[in-house]
Amino acid sequence: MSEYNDSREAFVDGVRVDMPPVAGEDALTRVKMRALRSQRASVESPLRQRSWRMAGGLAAAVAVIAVAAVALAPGQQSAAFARGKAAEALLFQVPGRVLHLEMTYTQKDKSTTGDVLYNTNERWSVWVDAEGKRLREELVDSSDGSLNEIHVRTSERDIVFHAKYPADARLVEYDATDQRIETPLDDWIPYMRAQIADGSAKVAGTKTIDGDEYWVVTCSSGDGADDKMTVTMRKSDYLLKTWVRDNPYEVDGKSGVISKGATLQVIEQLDPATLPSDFFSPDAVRDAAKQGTPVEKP
Amino acid sequence: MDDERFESVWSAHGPAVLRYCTYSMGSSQEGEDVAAETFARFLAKGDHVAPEYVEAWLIRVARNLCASQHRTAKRRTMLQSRLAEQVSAKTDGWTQPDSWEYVRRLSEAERLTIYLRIAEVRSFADIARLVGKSESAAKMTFYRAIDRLRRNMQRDGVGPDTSLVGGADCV
Repeated sequence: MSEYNDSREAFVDGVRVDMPPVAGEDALTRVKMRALRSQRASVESPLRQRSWRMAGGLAAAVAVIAVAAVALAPGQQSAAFARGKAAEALLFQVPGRVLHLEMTYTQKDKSTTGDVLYNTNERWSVWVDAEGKRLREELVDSSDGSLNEIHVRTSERDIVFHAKYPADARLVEYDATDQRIETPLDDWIPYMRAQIADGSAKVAGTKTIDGDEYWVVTCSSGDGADDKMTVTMRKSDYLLKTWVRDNPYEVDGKSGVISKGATLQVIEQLDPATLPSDFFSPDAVRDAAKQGTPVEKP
Repeated sequence: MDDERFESVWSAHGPAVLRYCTYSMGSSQEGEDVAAETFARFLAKGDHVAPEYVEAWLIRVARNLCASQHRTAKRRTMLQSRLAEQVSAKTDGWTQPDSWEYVRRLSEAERLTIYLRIAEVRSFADIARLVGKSESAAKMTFYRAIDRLRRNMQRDGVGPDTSLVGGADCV
């Protein structure tokens, strides 16, 4: 950072100066040619290959193959799995259901001498109706459940309680009639839906949850070492119980920092009748503001 | 994947993906490595991705690849070994500023949010769409990252000793 004064805006200007420039034609051509060359060679991604080698080894690979063989054996559970219904369920447009998406992000960095450099535990939750309308959001400290922020949106009002950020807790209401609310669905979900539709997703088994039988379906996430997404879908109606994608990681400390963290994303479809009666009411936000205490999750 | 689609996606998103990867990795060389890998994956798997999700897909893949590269020095060493065999990349390009060491300490989500906000001048609504968070969460991530950068640099005597003020409406 070359120079800046003590205002945040000036600091941001300094960060802007330190950004790399837009790449020139030579660099762009190199990258493009390498991507195309990799594809023409029809080889599995070098990074992916290495991930498998590092993560698996022969024993793990044998185990994976064995599990897949059992899961996909003719006449077993995959034969009854209706891809069309499953793909349709992943559109999240089930009338009368509420989609709940939750992302928990944790990271703790320590120096090799033991000093804690960074420690964060956040969970962001959002509830969306079948028409894509965002009904409620929460941002909480996942380590103790304390509330950072809560939103409830009705057709006319957006009521927000900022408990911890910014520094001063405050209750704010907005006119929400002209606000465009986007459905915050992760882009991996359509990716998984496509894999279910074309048959590349796999039925890995079944499990019983609260007395109901569920399919366990896995597919590629195509984005890194873990490279797997999993959903559980109820056999009777393909209701999504959970969609889980977990990315734990650990840095070894060679750079002087030992970092551990994970991002866990979960999606489920809920029956709103199981939620508290005022769960999507502005009163829930006002109550949280009065109490200044965490809002209990259902 | 047909050439026309790849060319269209490359033209629209190639420069931004490469620039982000360069910023995240702290060098032009490593940025090119990750950007090339990102588009190789798009060539291999992009047929599944609907047009409206392509940008978010590329951003997500690039982000995760960057995060993976940051996570283990071993991976980076192996990648460089492979590239040394296959690619005669040039050493031109961006020179990492002193401040990048502080950028390196951020999470990948924070680096990405800073990049999108500052280099790409994206709105928080747009950033939220790309990173799969709420607008308020994207905003929080950005300001938290900026404040961490300031705080860490000031702690090390790199910047002036000032108190930090919360708030999320000044940029």
